Amino acid sequence: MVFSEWNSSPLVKDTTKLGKKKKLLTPATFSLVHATDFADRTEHSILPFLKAGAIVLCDRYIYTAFARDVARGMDGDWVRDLYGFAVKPTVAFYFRVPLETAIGRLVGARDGFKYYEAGLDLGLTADAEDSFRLFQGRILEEYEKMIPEFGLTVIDATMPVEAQQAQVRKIAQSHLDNAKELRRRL
Amino acid sequence: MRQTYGKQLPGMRLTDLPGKLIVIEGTDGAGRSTQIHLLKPWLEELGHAVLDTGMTRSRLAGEGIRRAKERNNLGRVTQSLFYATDFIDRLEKEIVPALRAGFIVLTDRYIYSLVARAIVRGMDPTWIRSIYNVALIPDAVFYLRIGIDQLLPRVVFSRGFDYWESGMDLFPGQGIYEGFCNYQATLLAEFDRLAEEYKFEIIDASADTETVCAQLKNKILEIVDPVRVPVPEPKSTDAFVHSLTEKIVANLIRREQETENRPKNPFSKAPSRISAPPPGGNGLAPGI
Repeated sequence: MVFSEWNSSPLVKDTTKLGKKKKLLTPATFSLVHATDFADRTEHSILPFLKAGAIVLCDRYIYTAFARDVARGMDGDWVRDLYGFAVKPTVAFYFRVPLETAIGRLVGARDGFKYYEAGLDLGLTADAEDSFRLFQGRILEEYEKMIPEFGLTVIDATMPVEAQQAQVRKIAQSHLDNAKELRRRL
Repeated sequence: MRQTYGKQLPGMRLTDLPGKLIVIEGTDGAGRSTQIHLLKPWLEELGHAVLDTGMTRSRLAGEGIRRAKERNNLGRVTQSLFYATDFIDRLEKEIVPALRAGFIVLTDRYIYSLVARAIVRGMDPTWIRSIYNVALIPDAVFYLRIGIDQLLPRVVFSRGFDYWESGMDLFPGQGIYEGFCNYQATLLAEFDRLAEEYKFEIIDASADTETVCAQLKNKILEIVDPVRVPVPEPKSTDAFVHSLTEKIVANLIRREQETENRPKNPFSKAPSRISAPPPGGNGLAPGI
């Protein structure tokens, strides 16, 4: 099994870092720089491993981009077209929590929010926590729309971690059994 | 109001963009940058403010692309999107603000080169076009067209064969000369298709630099100046300088008349196109 994390391409990370540090990113370039990062990982870390028969586990996928970019004002169809090269996942889990729970977990757990993470680039409000709340609210709305659109598998992330893990394992196992069966028939 | 090729980026107002967007396109070695070097000071001498821009010059992604190309693992999708990042950064941060301030934007390549390169590298033509459908439709696209036969001597007698210009990422098994011929021929065929689709103005770039430049100047004058004095092909320096002087004088008269006739609006947000004369310009006072 291999693991691929959002925003981790060695080719693109300096550009993303520069854009974030110097606050150069607009909604469009924020979208594009992350798509470029994802493209590099698709070409080097995802596709070759899938072809080799590995299980690829991705921490975030195109849905993260769709939710964030549309919350930033990008056209939903444009962003979906942009990621048209992405491999359709076997299964996509969406760990769903209500907005207040998400904020409660994050506020206090970290030393303030980062500029783009809090959506401060949108100028909704100057206060980072208020901005984060508004921005995350928009993001959650986008996720809700994507559940039926992409058939996301929803996991109730307010449950104990062990219960969530048991559910995820059960679902993942059923897909792996299917794969084994298919391979046997081939 | 300006138009895009389909969609509009958030925050990009398409009204009040009085400048002109002029694209110089063409394959590698067609003489684009030479022509832009000649056109920019000429336009400035005529009193226009000019922004010249080109691929990989964005603050955001220019350096990242250069570094990525030095390595041997830049994938084709990644490459296409890295260039798109560079283009959109320049569109939002340079091209649109310059057009809003009334500049003439001379761009060395535009979306067409990016589309052509991506298609030649096997990208889905619909996919790559959908990314660039947020680009502004330019006022003119001049396609400096040159065949491989005319291009080869230029490459041989100038900088030699470049890895990327020879499509070595596409044809790794071939020699650099064969790669160059194959890649440029494929690119040329794609450009010819795009020329028809996007209605490029085709300029024969196999002619000498001065002839191509004179053609470009006349076509650009049609766009940027209502009072036209055609630029002759420069048979002698004296005649050329004479015609240029005439042109400047005609411009001065026209601008003075325009200034006199224009209603004074102290609240107008549109800045004067020549409120800040560019360096290397005509040396005349602001407003001229």
